[in-house]
Amino acid sequence: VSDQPRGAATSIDGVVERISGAGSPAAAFALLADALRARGLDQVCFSLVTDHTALGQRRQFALLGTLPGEWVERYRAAGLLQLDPLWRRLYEADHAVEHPLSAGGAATAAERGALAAWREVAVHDLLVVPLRSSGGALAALVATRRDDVGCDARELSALTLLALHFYERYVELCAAPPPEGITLSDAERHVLTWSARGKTKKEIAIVLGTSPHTVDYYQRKLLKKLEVSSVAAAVARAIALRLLLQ
Amino acid sequence: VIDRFIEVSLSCKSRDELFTRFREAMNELGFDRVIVSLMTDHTRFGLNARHGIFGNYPEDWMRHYVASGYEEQDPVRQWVVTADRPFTWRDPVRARTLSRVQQDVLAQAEDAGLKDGVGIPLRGAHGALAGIGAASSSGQLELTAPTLSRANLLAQQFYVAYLLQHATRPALEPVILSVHEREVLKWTAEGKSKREIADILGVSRHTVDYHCRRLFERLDVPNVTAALMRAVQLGALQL
Repeated sequence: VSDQPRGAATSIDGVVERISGAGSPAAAFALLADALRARGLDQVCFSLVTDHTALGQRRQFALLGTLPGEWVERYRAAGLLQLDPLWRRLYEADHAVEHPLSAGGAATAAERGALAAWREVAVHDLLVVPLRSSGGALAALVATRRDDVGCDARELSALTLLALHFYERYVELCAAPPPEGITLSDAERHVLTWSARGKTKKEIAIVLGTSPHTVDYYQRKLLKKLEVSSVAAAVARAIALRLLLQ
Repeated sequence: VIDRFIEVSLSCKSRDELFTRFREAMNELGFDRVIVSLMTDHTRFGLNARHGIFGNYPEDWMRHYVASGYEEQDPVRQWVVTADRPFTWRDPVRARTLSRVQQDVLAQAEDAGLKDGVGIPLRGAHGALAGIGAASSSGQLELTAPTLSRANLLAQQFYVAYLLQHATRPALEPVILSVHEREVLKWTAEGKSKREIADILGVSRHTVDYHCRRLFERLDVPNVTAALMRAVQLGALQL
């Protein structure tokens, strides 16, 4: 086992450049898979673990990937995107982590089934990278290792960054054209921000040093502007339109 | 740049050293001004939300920023929350949604020597959000897509290494909403009242109330509006 960096051909800078030039999600993914293969990772699979509303895409397992199609079909049919303990692990992770394929963490038959499914395609533990975007959207890159040398912090970081870069490009390529610019005034934005924190009109009035009537006036303006019928709906709409400071 | 920074960032002995290395790496890309902020509490790491936990923005500007209460107005902070990708402060599409005060904050920042500004959102587990601002004092920087991507990856690696430097606390239970709780929130987001939601779901008004109370308790919020916001932040709901 060599301690040498794996050569200029697989430098992250180089891969980043290539993925940035990719014209489609599939092309970007192919470049990512190549780069990961050169780093000792075999199978790679990209999933939308939650809906990606901003992209108009529903959650889907193995949206892109090198896993056998028949295996992916069975995984989906078994509803494992709900049951697989892998996704719980993903939810907890801030960066690439290893997910054991031993049944240790599996509490239920369904979870053991999910791990058994993975063992059909992976010899060693899985590597999983959480990919997050606004509005709580979560995607994942799952990779299998070819050899059992383990992954040091450096390799995990490299995997994290390559996956994040792919995800960035993916979001860029899939993003719908930005919504028509709705502009909120400073007063409207303040009222909306405090409303989203659960404050009442009276409380917001105190915070902003104004009267509850004024707050009410701005809330009604917000409803009209965002074309909704309640303050809660205005908050939801503002999140979807990316207008709201959390 | 990136490969080197991975090595360097993982061998840093302290957070200050890590930020210094990060600053140096960003400087190589042309960003000589950098600031790091925690936008949300990072409870698992015992860290509270704070603007500018690290940074080398001009001191005059930082004083003026704090004194003027710009933290609440700063459009870069606002964009970090909603952006899926690194962005430039001068993005014309984003600029259309700015209020006058916000435009003024950006113009003043530029006058203070923060030119060619970019913002980078960083997301961790459980809705944790941090943000990085970077700028050049020269105004000579070309903000190409590769430059933005490199800055993004340096920032992401900084965040990973920064979190690795903190001992994590026991993992929080992920908030997983029940089908009913999710339905209630989804219809609330559509602007429906509790009575209407009860009709839609074919349950009584009391049942809807029950789900709401459970939501308030689980999400530690006082009402449905805040519940909606909190559920999105925690990744338990997508709108």
